Amino acid sequence: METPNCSNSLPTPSSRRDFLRQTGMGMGTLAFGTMVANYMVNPAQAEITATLKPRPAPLPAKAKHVIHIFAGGAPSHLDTFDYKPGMKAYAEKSQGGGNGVLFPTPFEFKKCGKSGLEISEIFPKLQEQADEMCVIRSMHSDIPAHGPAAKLMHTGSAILTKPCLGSWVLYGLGTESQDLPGFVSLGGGAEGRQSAFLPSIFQGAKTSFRPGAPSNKVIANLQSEFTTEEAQRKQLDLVHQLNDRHMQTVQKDEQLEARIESFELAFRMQTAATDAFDISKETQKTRDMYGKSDLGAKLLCARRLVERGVRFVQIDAGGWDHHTNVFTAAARTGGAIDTPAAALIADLKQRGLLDQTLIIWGGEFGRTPTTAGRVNAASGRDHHSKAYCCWMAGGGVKGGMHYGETDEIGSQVASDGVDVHDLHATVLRLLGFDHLKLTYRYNGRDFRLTDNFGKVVTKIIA
Amino acid sequence: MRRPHFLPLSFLLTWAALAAVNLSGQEMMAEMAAKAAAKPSDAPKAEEKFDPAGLEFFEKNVRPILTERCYKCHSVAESTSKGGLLLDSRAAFIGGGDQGPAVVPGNLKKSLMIISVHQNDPELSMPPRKAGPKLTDEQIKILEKWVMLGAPAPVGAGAVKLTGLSEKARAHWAFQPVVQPAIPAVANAAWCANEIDVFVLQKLEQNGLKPSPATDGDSLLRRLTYDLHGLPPSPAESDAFSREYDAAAARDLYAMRQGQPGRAASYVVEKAVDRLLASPRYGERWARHWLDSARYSDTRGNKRDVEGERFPSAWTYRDYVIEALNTDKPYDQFIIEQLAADRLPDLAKDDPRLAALGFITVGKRFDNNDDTIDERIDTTTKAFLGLTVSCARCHDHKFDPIPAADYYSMHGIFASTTEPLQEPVIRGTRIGTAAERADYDKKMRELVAANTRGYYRYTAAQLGTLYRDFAGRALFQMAGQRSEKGFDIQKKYKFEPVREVDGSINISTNSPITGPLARLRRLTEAEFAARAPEVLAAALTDKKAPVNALVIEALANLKPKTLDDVALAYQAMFQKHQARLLAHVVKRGTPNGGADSDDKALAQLASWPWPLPNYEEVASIPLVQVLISTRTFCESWQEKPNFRNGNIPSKYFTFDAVNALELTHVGGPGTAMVVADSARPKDTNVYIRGDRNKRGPIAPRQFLEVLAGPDRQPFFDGSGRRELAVAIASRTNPLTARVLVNRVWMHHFGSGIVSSPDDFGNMSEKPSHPELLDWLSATFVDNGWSLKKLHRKMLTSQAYRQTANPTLNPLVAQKGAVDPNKIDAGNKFLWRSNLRRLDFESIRDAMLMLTGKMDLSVGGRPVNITDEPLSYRRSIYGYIDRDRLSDLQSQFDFADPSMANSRRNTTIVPQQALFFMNNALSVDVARSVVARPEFASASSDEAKIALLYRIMFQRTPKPEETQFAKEFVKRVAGYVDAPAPSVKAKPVATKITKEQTKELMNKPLLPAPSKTGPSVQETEIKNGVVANKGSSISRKNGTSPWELLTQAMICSNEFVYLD
Repeated sequence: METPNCSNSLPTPSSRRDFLRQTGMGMGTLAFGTMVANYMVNPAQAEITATLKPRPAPLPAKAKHVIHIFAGGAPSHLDTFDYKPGMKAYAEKSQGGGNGVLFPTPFEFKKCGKSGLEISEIFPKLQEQADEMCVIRSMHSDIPAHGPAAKLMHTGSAILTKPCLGSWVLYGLGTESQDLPGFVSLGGGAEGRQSAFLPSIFQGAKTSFRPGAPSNKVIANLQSEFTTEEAQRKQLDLVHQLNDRHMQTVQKDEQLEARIESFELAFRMQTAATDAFDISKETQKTRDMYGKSDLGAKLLCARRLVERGVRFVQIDAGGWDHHTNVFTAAARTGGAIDTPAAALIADLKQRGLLDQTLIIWGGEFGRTPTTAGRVNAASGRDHHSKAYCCWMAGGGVKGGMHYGETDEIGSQVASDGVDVHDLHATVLRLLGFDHLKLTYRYNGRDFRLTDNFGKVVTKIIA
Repeated sequence: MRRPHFLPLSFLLTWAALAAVNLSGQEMMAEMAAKAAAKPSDAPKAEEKFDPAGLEFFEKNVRPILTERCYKCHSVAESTSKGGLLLDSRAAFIGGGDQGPAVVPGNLKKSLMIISVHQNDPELSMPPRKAGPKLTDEQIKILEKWVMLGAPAPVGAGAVKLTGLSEKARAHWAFQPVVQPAIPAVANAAWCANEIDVFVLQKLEQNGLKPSPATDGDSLLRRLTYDLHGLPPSPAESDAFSREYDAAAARDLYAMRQGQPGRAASYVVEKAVDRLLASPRYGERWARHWLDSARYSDTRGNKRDVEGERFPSAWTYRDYVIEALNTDKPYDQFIIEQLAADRLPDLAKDDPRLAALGFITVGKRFDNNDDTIDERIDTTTKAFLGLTVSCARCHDHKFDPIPAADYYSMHGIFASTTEPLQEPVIRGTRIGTAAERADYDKKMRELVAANTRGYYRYTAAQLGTLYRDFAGRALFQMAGQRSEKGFDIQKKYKFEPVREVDGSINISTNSPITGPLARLRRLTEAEFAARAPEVLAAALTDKKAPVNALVIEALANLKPKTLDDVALAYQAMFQKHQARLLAHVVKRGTPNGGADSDDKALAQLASWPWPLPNYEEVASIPLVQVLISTRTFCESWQEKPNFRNGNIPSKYFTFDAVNALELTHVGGPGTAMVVADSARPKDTNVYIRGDRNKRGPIAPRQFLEVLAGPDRQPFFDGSGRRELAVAIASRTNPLTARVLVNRVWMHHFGSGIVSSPDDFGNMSEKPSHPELLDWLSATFVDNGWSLKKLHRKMLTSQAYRQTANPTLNPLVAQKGAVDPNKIDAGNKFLWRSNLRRLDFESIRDAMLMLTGKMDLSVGGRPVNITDEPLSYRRSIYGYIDRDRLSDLQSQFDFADPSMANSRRNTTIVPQQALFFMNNALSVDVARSVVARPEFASASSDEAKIALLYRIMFQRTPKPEETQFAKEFVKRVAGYVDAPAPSVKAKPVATKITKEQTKELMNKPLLPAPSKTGPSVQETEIKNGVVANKGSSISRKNGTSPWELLTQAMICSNEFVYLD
């Protein structure tokens, strides 16, 4: 086809193949880039179109995909990635003011890789990936309550209903995936997939992915329980004929064309999504690498999605709310993500996808350097938002480094503080956006992910 | 500084600054006056005065640097204040921009201006690199010296930023009064059916365009029915209308040829419109539009978990809106009731109009009350006024003449509004049968009893824990639960901390129970043994804080060596009386239990630390909730039971079951989510930058200045809500009628005269037809704010009747020099109708209607409209969870119910296609249609196809359409089994006589709902949301070729677009 998406008149097609050829939608003959896949058209403002068509970012950048692993419940920075050996000397010393006594981490840390990045023993596999990881030790916020803080982490607003990070990214970049949703949520709350005032094409597709469960039910209505694929193919060809007749009575219209294409996309999605979510198609070796857990399956699934062009994958990897028994609980929760996350980094790297895929791991805040009463096996940590950590890997982030410092007990940020808006600004920059310029006008105001805030942490960008 | 001198001086300085930028004197004076009136707080502080040398230093050394390097972005002269910062005056430096003060006199480290010019921080560097090099070291030194001098400079008129408070912003068209314009003259007057057409035609003619011819009868009735009912017409209605309309159109054509005006077709349309408006389906359709503006939801939206999240009676507000529309309640009355129904003069206690207050209360709730108030201000001003007033929460509105003070005027109104504990039951809402009502009453009685008793059971259990380990727990609490000492106490006394118990141990000197303990704990360990007897004796005999007799008895002869001894003595006392104490709790928790006759000292001891009212005092769900969550029932020395992380133990309390019963039981009454004026209404101070801890001047409760004018008076009647309602519903309010009329227009024509229905401010696009908007608004008000008359006017216009097919426009058909597709591609001037996609509700409701199983009852408790088991209730009755909107709703552009959203997007995503292709409802429709007897008895394939086209598209198929449908059925037959489905559906007549036509045209479209009123669809709460009872669609039978054909029609564009 020479002019794939602008046929002005539509002769009656005699078959589906003809139809697709005439409307420039032949499968495999052209990239998704030329397909008019999704539209929001307001007749009065025909120029406002929101589309999922992939588009280059305005600034040079490496990252093209994001896998956000949200460690809900608030992981303790002191037991994971922010080593405070000096605290041992102050064990059980009271801080006064009823805040309990200092609780040095019960875990050993190791200087890992060539870089010597310090990582806790609860992550033996991630220790091997240290040179790919960039730990931000100086995260901070004002909100030590799970609900609003999680909302803040996902959307940049603790209170209002705002679009989440993934929706902004999809809005900015569109998607390369021809037959899958551009933004997939593998579990987690609505705040992690909501598009709020952004058009709903940018919302994360809710899925019910579980290893072992049938992959054709991961997305609602994904496959028919009432008829066969062959019959449905014929049915869809008929729908195209009906639509073609209809189009002749109302003239060519972008909306109508987009809707026609959406049925083809949906038809392909039936097979493509069923396939993408079917991790049993991976080799045993790869599956072993990610481990047998649910999280392993989700991260493996995330890789399959990214590989197929999905722009943003949101994963919930919570369970970090360790008010008691840090020693066993953090080891357990950390252990659950260790193998999958390390496998994800290694797997993406060996497939040459790590450079263009940004992995983000982190929770909504951190935990206190103190525990109630005495330090023992039952000791726990409470909510603490003034200092916490997160890490990123791939996607143009410098590996084998940490950024920012906390004070000697990990209670306050000592230097190079990074708040959620700064993190968001940095993620957008890694994807090629100036966070000040990625805006959407709604009710008379230009909104952005970072509200009136956000500083890019330039030092972690390779 | 003497005040009389000061104001004129600052005024003059500002005057000078403004004069320098060529503002006209008059404009500037007006602006100054406006500022002075709106922001008295911003009057400069009187204490600043600088010696002339300081000012000279500024003008000679500092000002040139600012002029050269800063004013391009930060001055009144350039009309820019990037980052909200101006550098024209001292007040502006110090007031600063969005990041804070630019200059802190005498402090270089805190002065952002100084930090910026050093350019050490890349994010805080000024001037920006692209605006030239860094300031020279010498220039920086001058600025630093100046800051250290105390930053002398002309004071200026306050930290005024460039905002929407300018005369230009005030002159915006939408703030000007509505004036009924004269009907213009047009060339082609014969085309016009009413005044609307004249205005539309005038614009078309001015732009060299011509209107399109009218569409045919089938498509016109389809349009009308979807527009007013959100449903397709039945084939019979379609036939009847088309026959009459097409004949009338022919008569009109004949009349026009005779030089007579043709009115016959208009008459047919008018009749159809009246018939549609008279049906209850109208209110169900249009209520949905209003509920989008009113951000209706059945949940609070502030919790991640489910408990306490659902409003059990939001649906009464939804039903109020339906009823108001069906009875054509005048819109001004509709406004007043929604904001202040509690203040209506002739109000009964169970008045259904009370449900209108749901407008205020069904919104999202926040932990911080200021956020909840903000949400209410936002919705009220957007829904009724098309204004974004909540933009002025932190600063004066950037674009519109709404000072922050006006925001806080409204804040005071809503802050002075409370929600009563018990919602009133509304008459007419108990619709269940006698047996259902009795069942509900029984269940509710049981729940009330269980929860009220639950409180006493809970308290007794907690007291048991407390009495057993009192000494350890009390010492633990006094030492600090998180302290080392506390930990050691815990080990010594061997108890497991229970936060709910330990945290309630209230040890205070004025407590009749713990008073002595409180005094003794002040002694140090060293002095304890020596001084304790004397302190104890004083405590036990203190007349000002009398101690409980049982405590006196326990402590009177004590010679404690340590605090532990005292705590143990308390413990012994509790354990000695434990049986009697707990028996007392049981008595309190028994109706007429006779607890009052117990020993007073015992009763008092038992009610420490948790209050013990008599059963009768708290025997209702709201009261139990108050009892456990507030201090209402507490003496000063008592504690409310506290629940860790808000987790209320389900062993004792079953509020979720109460909520579920209220929300789902058909035998229950409906209550109104009312508000009331607080007993002591009060004004709010302006919060500086929206920060409630930084209070500015008082903002009297009053209406917005830009709408009320300079002579506005503060509200005095209660919270001021009633007066606010009246001010909004006023015929002189320039926005109210325009905003409403525009929305109605938008829903009928596909696009508003103003394109942003909730924002008529300076950021909105200019109206496409300003005179028409004013004519409609003025006429709407003159017609008694009647919505039905407004619909009638719009729908009987020739403009509405135009075809959507652009090729039929005479100018397009002629292929002349003027191409409407080029001149007006967006169809702003309405040279044709817009192609419109049906919204989610219309699509689903149309599908329900086609199944023949649609439930036509009006009103009632919400049902699940997205999941199996399917409900056949209309979509307006769907349960809406604002934080967990169903996927289907969000995929089909349901309006985000977290805020007012009057316009739906029309996005297209593949998940929508998956719904049509694979969802059970889609299959249900196909099976039901094919199972109709007239389909089975149709004589030929051609007849079957013709029937399907009438049912699905309300038209006759073209020959080629019949052809490929036939081919499809043949082709697909090889792929599927074709079992005969056995679904039975009501017969639908296809051929009708003239008499029947006549009858149909004069009858409501669908049978009137049964007299039992609201539906009795049975629901339950599953996983926290409403689920329907019933069975799923069978997966057994597969889909026959004819069903596949029918389903293909559901999938087609024609099914979901109005043309």
